[in-house]
Amino acid sequence: MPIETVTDENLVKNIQKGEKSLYSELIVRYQDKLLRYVRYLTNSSEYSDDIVQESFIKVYKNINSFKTEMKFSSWIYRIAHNETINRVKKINFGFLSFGDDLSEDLFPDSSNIEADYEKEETVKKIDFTLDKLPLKYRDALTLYYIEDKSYEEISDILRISVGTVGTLIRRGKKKMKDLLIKEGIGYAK
Amino acid sequence: MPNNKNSLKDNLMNKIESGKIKPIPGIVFSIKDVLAVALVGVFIILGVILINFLFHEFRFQQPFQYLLFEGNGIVHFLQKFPFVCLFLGGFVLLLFMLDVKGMAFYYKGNRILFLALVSVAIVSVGFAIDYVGVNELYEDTLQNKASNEVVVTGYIRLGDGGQKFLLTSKDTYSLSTFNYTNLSQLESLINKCVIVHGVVQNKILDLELINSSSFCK
Repeated sequence: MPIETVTDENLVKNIQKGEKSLYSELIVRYQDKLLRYVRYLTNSSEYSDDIVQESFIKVYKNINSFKTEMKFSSWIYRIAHNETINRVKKINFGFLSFGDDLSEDLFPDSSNIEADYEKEETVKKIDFTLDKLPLKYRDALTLYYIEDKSYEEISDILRISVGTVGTLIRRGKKKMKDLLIKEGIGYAK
Repeated sequence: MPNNKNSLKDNLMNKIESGKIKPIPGIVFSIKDVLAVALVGVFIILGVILINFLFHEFRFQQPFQYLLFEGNGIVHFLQKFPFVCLFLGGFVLLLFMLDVKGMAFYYKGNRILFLALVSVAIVSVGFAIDYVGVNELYEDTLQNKASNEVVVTGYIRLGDGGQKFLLTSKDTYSLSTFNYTNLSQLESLINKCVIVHGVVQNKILDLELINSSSFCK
């Protein structure tokens, strides 16, 4: 069976059994995705390479803690997310504000699931405004629109409820809209 | 810092292949998981004990009654209210939340409902334990144990005809039985006076030899 067709979870199973060389395949699969994700979060190419490298080291060190019943992609994004947050705290980018109380919005709003065309439009606009948003909104919007993760996956990555994911995305979009109007770029919807 | 795709991969794979980066053994994570679950149990038990103690204090100290006296009553209320218990309870709840924070059932489910259910369960069990009188039972047991125990310090002279008796500074005990760990040493002390320290509990004397002495007659 060609290695490209093996699932992430099966690759991890074999790495856990001692086949170290297979880890290079996981690096190939996730390097670009994690770099893009971390760049969107930090808005810095300078630190993102370093953060991604540290994330891959952590993933390998903790590979035996991965339980194959969960999704590997969520797990690796979770580690990259943590690594980024730690770095942001250290360097103090000034956007960190994860402590806001979202507990009043614990239930998902099914009407939040966007139509494809709207999603594409939003992706274009995200590039203009993302770096101006607080980190918590940037994180959720990047995972949803750029990394194409589902609400369920984002919930696992950020360790928040699915309802809170919906709230972050909805509020992030509203903030983006306000920013676009303020900048005079306009907003279709 | 790697400059391109291959350099990051090569750099990492070199470190992995050479053993510079090693995975942490699975047993470490298994132990962590077991500890995390065990801690949840410990925090729940601690919570129940604290709540039980809180109800016990309310029942015996009745701090809320002082509030009826207004002015001075508030001072007495503050003195009698078991703040330590409340503070410890809050601390245990915080540790409990930190412990379950990473668990999927906590962040995926309704946290408020979960915490409310756990709190109600802890308060109910704590109240029930106090209500059925477990605290009084425990206090009685402690009192009985204490009243049964007589600490003695004094002189003992062991008779050679099977007669054994103890002299203390205050009382004289006639004893039919006693525990002494070093029997051979005990035999060598027959008809001699020794200073002992011990405890009489349930009519059994537990002795500890302090010194031999020719002081007593």
